[in-house]
Amino acid sequence: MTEEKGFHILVALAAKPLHGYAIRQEVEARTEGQVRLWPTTLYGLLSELASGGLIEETDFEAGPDDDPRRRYYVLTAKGRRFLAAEAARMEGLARLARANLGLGKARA
Amino acid sequence: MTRLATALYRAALFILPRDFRDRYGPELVDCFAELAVSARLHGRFAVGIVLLRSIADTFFQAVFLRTKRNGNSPALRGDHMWQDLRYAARRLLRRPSFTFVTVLTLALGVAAATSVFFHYEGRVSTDDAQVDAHIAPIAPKIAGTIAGILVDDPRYGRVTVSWETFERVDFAPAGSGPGYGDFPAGSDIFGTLTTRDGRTLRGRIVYDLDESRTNEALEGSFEGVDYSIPFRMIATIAPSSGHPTRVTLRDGTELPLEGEGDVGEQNAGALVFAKEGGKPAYVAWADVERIDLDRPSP
Repeated sequence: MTEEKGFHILVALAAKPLHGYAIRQEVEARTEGQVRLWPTTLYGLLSELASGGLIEETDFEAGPDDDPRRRYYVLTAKGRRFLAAEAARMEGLARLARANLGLGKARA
Repeated sequence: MTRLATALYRAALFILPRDFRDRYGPELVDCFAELAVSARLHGRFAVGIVLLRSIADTFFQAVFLRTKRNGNSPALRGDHMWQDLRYAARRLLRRPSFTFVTVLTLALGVAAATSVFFHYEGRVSTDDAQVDAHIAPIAPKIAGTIAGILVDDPRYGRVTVSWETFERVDFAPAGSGPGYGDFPAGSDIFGTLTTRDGRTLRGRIVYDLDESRTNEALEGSFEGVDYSIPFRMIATIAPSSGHPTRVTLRDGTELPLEGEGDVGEQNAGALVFAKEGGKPAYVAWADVERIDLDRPSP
């Protein structure tokens, strides 16, 4: 569960820098409400991901109407590599599962 | 309501490790406040649910952060939730003082939230004669003593009279107080905002960034009495640096209200939507000269 939520945060940050509440909204929207990040869990995960060097704070400013106190987070190069590797691993697992269940496309 | 929930959530953060709290505390509070404002659209009960879930989340994270094993990144570790919970439970049993503080904090948070939300929602269902007269004691369940009384007055909205200011109350027969017709459903707040540099902005207003309906209330104090005045009853709000904010009601009554939130320095400012669906103009509280509110349509 924890790993899945961390992964969702990385996916959300892959597109653009986001602040905490926006990350929550993005994850909730992408998963159609299946994954909800409550504030302390969200910031606990952000802290862990930052410690692991996968994300970092950025000076990104969304616009003049945005709250200047907000901190924005962005994926690091290491985070991008990690996310790509995780996506490939999951793709491989999904392909294997589909094949074993007979759900894959029939080979010519 | 959202401010109270935010204050309770802020108090619950004290069970988190200090370094985490120092680093993320303000962001956690901001994030919760935005959640509470969203939930407010679905009613007070929804705010209560968000508060309880967020406090429970804080509790589990506090346990988790305090028992975190070195060298493991929980964000990327496997799906070990139940192992983590069992481990956390064992650690809690070994640290009774921490357990006591966290359980006490949770219990107080739940009790306060329950009392407050039942107090509001209970007004329509209780058979208490005082509530029939639209007067209710304030939070006797929390402190064990009466802190004052609430009065729903058709002239001012909700008025809170502290125990020190309170002199006497004469109960009217049940049913003679204001009825539901005196508290109509709300509509969007419209008006004209004048800035200190002379600009006038007209349109739909979101006051203090979280009050957007005429049945929501502006809160402030005057001579020991706390007022909670629905926006539909307000004609003008005129802040004054270093002085009370002058609030003029539709019947001409002027109230110099003080307070940190709606009428003081912690007011987050206002949004004015000149065109629905368009980008709003933001005006900081310090830049507001006055706000003239339109009379809501009947």
